[in-house]
Amino acid sequence: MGDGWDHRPRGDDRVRAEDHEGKDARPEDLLAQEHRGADLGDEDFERFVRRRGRQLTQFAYLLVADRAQAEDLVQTALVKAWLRGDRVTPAGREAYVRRTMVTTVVSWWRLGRWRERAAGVLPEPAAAPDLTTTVDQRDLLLAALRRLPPRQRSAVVLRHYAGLTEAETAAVLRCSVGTVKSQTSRGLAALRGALATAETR
Amino acid sequence: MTDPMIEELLRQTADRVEADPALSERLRGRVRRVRRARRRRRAAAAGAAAVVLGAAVVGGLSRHWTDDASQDPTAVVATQPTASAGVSGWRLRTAPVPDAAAAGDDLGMFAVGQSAVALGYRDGHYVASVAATAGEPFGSARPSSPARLTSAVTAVSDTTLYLWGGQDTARGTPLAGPVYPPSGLAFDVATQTWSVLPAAPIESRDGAVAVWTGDRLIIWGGLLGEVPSTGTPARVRSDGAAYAPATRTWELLPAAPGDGNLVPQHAVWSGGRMIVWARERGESSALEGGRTLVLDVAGRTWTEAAGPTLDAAGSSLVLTSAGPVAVSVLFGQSHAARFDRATSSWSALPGPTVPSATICPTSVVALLAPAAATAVAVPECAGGTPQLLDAAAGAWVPLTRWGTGLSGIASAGESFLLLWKPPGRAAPDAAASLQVLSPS
Repeated sequence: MGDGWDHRPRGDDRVRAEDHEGKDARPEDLLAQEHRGADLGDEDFERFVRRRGRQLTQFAYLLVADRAQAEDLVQTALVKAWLRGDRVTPAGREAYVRRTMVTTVVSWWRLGRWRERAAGVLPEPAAAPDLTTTVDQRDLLLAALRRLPPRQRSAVVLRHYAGLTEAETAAVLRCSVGTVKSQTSRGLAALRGALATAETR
Repeated sequence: MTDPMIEELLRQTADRVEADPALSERLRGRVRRVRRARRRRRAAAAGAAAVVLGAAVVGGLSRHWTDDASQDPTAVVATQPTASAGVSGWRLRTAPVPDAAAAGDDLGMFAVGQSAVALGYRDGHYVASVAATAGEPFGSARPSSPARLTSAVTAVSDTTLYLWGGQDTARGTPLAGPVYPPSGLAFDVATQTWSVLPAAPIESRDGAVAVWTGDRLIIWGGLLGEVPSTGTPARVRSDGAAYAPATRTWELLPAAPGDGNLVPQHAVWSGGRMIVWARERGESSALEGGRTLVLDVAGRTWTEAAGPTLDAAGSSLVLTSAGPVAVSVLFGQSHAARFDRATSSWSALPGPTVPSATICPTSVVALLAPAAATAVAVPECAGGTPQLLDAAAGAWVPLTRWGTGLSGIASAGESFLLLWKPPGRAAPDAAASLQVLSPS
C-alpha cells in the first residue's frame, strides 16, 4: 500500500473490534464497527447534507432559538462529522451530528452566549386570535426554549421534535433514561408555564 | 397545553427555517480549508528536518512580546512575524479551571485540536472535562466506564485523546505482582464521549510509548512488573502494535532490533517515522546506555543508533523543525541534543538555563508545531525564565518579556500552549490555575 502499511490480513495479527467490544462502546454505532472499504467520500456526505440538511438546521434552530446561530451550529457539527470521514458510519452519522450539536450548545451556553437574550422579556402576544396568533406562539415558544438550560432544551427537542425514544435520547445526551425523563418533564412543564402565562395576559 | 400541542408547535416553529441551498457549498468550502491546512501541516512535518527555524523568527518571537500588566486577568499581548505559521499575534490569559471535585485526581491537561482536555481519575473511572476552545470554561466531567488502571500511556490526535496500557490497581497485590488487563480507551472531544478500543495484539504493560501518526496510534515497548510470589523478574517488552481508528483494527509492528533489553523513554512521530529514545535496562545511571530506534513505516523496518547521551530523569523529547530535540533537566543541571535523521546521530546542544537554588522541573514542548516548530522550555515552578530554542544558533533564548510569572506544566496544541498548575502543586492548599497562550 502507498502508505507503507501492509493491509493484507495476517491471521492472528489482526484483531477485530467486535471480538473485544467493551460496554462503553457507543450504542448507536457512532464509530465504524468494521472497515467498509475506502473512504465513504465527499459525494456521499454531500448527499447526506442535501437529504438531511434542512432537518438538521431546524433541529439546530430549536436548540439555539436563533436562525443565524442555528446555521453556525449546524455547519460546525457537519464539518466535524465530514472531517471524521469513515470513522462515522452512515448509520450513525445523523446521531453523531445531533450529539455534536448538543455538546456544542452546552459549551456555548456555558460561555454565556445567550444569557443576555434569555434575560429579555417575552414578546407581547397579539390582541386578536387571528393568523398571527400562531406566529406569536412560535415566538413565545422560542423565548421559552431560550430560558431552558441546554440539556433540558435538548431533551425536549430530541424527544418531542426529533421523535427519539427515551433510550435514544439518553444515548445522545450520554445520560440515563431516568435523567431524560426528568429533564424532559421539567422542560415541558416550563414551556407549558411560559405559554400559559402569555395566553392569560 | 398538551404534549401533542407542544409537539405541533415545535414543528411549526422549526418549519420557519427553510433549506439553505448553499449549505453543501459552504460546508465544502470549510472542509476544503481545513484539509488544506492539514495538508500544509503534514507537509511541513514531513519535511521538518529540512527546515531550519531562522534566527530571525526566534529573534522576532523574543523581541515582539510585550507585557500588558493593565489587563485583568493577567494578559500579555504579543506580535510575531507572520512567517511563523501565519500567526500575527499572541495573547496569554488566565483561563477557568475544571471543577476539581468532579474531575477527581488530576492526571494532566491535554491540548486536543483547538480544545483543552483535563484528564482525571475518580472512583475507578477516568474523567475528562473539555473546554471546546482552549481558554473557554470547561464543561461537565465525563467519566469513562470503570477502568481501574494506572500508568496508562496517552497520545493525542486532532480529535481524540487515547489511553492505553497500565495496571489494574484493584487486582494487583504486592505478592502476586501487577495485573495488566487488556485496556484502551478513546475520548472523542467533539462529542465528549468515551469508547473502548478493541484489545491490542500485544500485552498491556507499563512504560510503553505512544505516538499518533495522523491516522494511527502506535504503541511500542514497556515493562511487565515482577511477580515476587513466583520469583519472576520484571520483563522488558520490545513488541508493539498500531491501531487504525478508521477500521478499528490493530496490526503488529515488525520486530524491533536489540536483544529485547531496551526500555523506551520517549517517542515522537516525524516524517513517516517513529523515533524512540530508549535505554538499556539495568544501565539507568549510565549516559552511554541511550539508544535511538527509528521505525520506518513505509519500509516496515527498524534502524538503531547510539545516544542520546542524556540522563533520562527529567527528560523530554520534542519534534522541532530542525529535528527531534531531547532535553534533560535535573537538579539545576540541564543538557540537550538534537537528532539528525540523515546521519542517524545526535549532536549536543546546551540545555535551557534552570534555577540552581531550587529544584524546578521544566516542561519542554514544541510551539508552533509542525510548520515552524521550536522547542520552548517552561519552568513548572515560579522564578524560572521561559526559553525558546534558537535552532540555527544552537542556543536557548530567554523570553524575559513573557514574565517570571509564566510557569506550569506545559502542553502544546498547534498554535497554543496550556500552562497547568494542578491543585496543591505550589503548596498543599494551592488552588489550580490554567494559563493559555494562544493567537490573539
